Amino acid sequence: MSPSAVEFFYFLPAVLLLYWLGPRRATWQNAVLLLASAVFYASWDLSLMGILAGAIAVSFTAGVVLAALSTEGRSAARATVVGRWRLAVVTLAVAAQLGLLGVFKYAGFFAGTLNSLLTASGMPDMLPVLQLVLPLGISYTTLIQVGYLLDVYWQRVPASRDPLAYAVFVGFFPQLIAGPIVRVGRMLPQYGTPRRLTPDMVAAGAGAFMLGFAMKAYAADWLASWIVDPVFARPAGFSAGALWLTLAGYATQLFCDFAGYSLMAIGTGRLFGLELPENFRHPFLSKNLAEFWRRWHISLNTWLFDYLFAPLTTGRSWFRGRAGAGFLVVFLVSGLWHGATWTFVLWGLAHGVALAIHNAYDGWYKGRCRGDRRYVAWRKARPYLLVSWVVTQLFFLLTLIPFRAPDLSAAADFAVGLLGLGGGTPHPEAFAFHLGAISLFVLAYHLLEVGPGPALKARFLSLPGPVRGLVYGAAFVYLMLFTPVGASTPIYGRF
Amino acid sequence: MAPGARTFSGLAGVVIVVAVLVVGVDLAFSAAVPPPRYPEVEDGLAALQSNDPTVLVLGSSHLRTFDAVARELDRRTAGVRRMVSIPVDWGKMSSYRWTWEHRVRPILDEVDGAKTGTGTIPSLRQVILVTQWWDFRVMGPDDDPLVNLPARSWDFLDWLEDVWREGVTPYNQNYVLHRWTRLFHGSSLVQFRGRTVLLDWLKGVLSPESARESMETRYKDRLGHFREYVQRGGERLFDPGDVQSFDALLDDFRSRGLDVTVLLFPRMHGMLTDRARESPIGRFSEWMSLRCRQRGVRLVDLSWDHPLADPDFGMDLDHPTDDANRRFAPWILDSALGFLAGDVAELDGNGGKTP
Repeated sequence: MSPSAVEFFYFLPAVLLLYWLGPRRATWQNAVLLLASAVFYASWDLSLMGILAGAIAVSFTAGVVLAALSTEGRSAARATVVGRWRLAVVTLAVAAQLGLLGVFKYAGFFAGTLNSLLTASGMPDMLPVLQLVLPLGISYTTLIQVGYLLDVYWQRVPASRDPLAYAVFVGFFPQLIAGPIVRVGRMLPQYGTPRRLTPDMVAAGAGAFMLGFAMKAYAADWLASWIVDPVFARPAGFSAGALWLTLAGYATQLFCDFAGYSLMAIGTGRLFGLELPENFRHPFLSKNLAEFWRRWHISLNTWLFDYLFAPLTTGRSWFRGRAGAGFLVVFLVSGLWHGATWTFVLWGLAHGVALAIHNAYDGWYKGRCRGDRRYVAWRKARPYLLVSWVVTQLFFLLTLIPFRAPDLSAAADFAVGLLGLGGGTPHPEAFAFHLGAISLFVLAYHLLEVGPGPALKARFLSLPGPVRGLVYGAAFVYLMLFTPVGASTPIYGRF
Repeated sequence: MAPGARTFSGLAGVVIVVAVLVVGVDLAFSAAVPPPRYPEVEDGLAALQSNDPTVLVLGSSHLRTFDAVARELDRRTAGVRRMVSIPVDWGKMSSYRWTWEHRVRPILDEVDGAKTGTGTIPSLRQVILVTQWWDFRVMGPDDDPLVNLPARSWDFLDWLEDVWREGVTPYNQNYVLHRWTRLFHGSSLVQFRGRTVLLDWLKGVLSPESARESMETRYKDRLGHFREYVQRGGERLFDPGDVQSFDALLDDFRSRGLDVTVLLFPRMHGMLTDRARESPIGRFSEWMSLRCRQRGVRLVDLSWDHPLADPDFGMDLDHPTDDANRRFAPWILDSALGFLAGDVAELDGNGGKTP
């Protein structure tokens, strides 16, 4: 079941009724959410539910043990011993979570790679290549739990003592398929107190859900069906112009698919009185890569920077103070997190290198600014901003080729096609009307954040309810006319 | 979307306007382009229970044609011969079997409340299985997930059992979708969601000429697509599961003493290329002819021989239009299914046994 599917429109109202009509106690509300999450999970694969339950039990127990092994009030010698025990517990618990992810997601990739190397050197295959079914949301739930364990270990947050609240924190159904990746400090306090239904939350929740639905079920799925999938299936049959259009279409599809799904998750959370973290912040406005990654898949990137980049570059290892190397590691991990294929490794490598270069350039430019204030003014000038924006977005577009292509050779074919050396059909058979409408929609979504945009938005929101109702109603009718039944699985649900 | 709404009543105001607008637009669209309500399995089962038919027809959406045949039969025999259709929309042979075994058979096996030991459908004597090559093909990647689903015959517990076993799949999602569209059967917005029906109508109102042109283009594209699809169909015959289902159905019909007719539904001549005439159409006809002979079952093969012209199949190229069905019904009752209306005088008043 996916939030854009018809069955969700039966499921959600039933859960909301149970949730809000029952006693206003945290235990009741968490129990309803856990039950709903179990049903949601089972709707994908009942047989794998035990794996998630086991992982939650391990991380919860490890948290309790870490809390029990407090070094506070102990002698220095005793604290050292306890500290070692704490390190052992957190290492084991994190290894268990990552091991689970490794087995399901990466065992096949590494075995296949090793076998290829052996075959190339004339030796027989040694390892069986496992093709395991990936448990739903394992990439997300693993990071949530590892983050929790590290936070408890570093004593940033107290360990959870409430298994029910903890289980919902990890497995809350809207965030299961494609995030956002929640953090304990933000979410556990919310699960610890009874939630109240407020009109603001309902309005914001319904609004986010509908906006996300439009992005996912209309924009993303239309782009996929009519532009991206047909062209990526046989890029050689299309002209360079069509390939560039497709690449831009894929960037928009990916954004609408993922940001749309995140908004649906956030909207659903609000309908339950819960505030999930923001996952996208108008990424196509970014004028450099660092900014881009602060706006795109925010919950993953902040996770990687907090739990990987920061410890790496501020610890005692070789990486200390070497931000460029840190970026490389973070984006290689990010690439592998997206999928166990060489195309994702290439994608991660490209972004890691580019961020390292950007970081070095930024340091150099800031040095110039200190020496000559004109550099500050240039950086704020429109031509500089325009060039920065073009370079950033172009780089992002080009790196989507390996991200989308099934293998490296297909990626290379697509990239060569962009140079315009071949012929082919000038454009895929798409309706110009929808292409225009979707472009306008995504453009408006971004432009409402800059210049007079926010004021316009505020002005619209201050209009009388019935006037806004007419606009929302018209949007609803539009979606009914143009959104086919049976939206596809979110792209990020596969990662 | 509406942070200005600080109170529930303010929010309710917005929701009411949205609802009024959506319902108003829907009513307007529904008046202009009324959504068709095609008969489904549950309609057929209800008719089976209430009409005590003499003839039962089992098949796919092609059975829409047999509603006209049933009316004509009723008219000719003054209600002595009654025909009921159980249409499994998007079904194929394995779906008909499921529907027969899980939905129809329990009704036939029911014994009346008066404890006389009589079945509740005492008049049933004949069964017609309406089929085509499509019902026997191996599913391919280009098949819509809605295809081949007995899910349209399911009840809630069947669906729950399947979800429990398989998780939510495109296969069982069809049940949910089916219930959803039945729930809003009068709504054009729900019935035509994401399809071009309403836009075509709007375009027709605003610019009839360009609407006609785009309709013609779409007709040609569709015809080309179907020609290709049918041509490739020969490579996909026969699915062993469907063959097994066919045999099982015939066995069960015969064991109940029912007179069985297998009818191959008319194909649109213009859709069939020379290759398609050879296979799957010709190949399937030959196979079915042999199979029916072996089983001692009457075969009515209308694949080629029928009075319908290409325009009679309308835009969907598969289902005859209402008008075509009205012409088809007397034709078939005068020819291949003439035996259905015969011997009326010898029937008892309840439309029961033929002596």
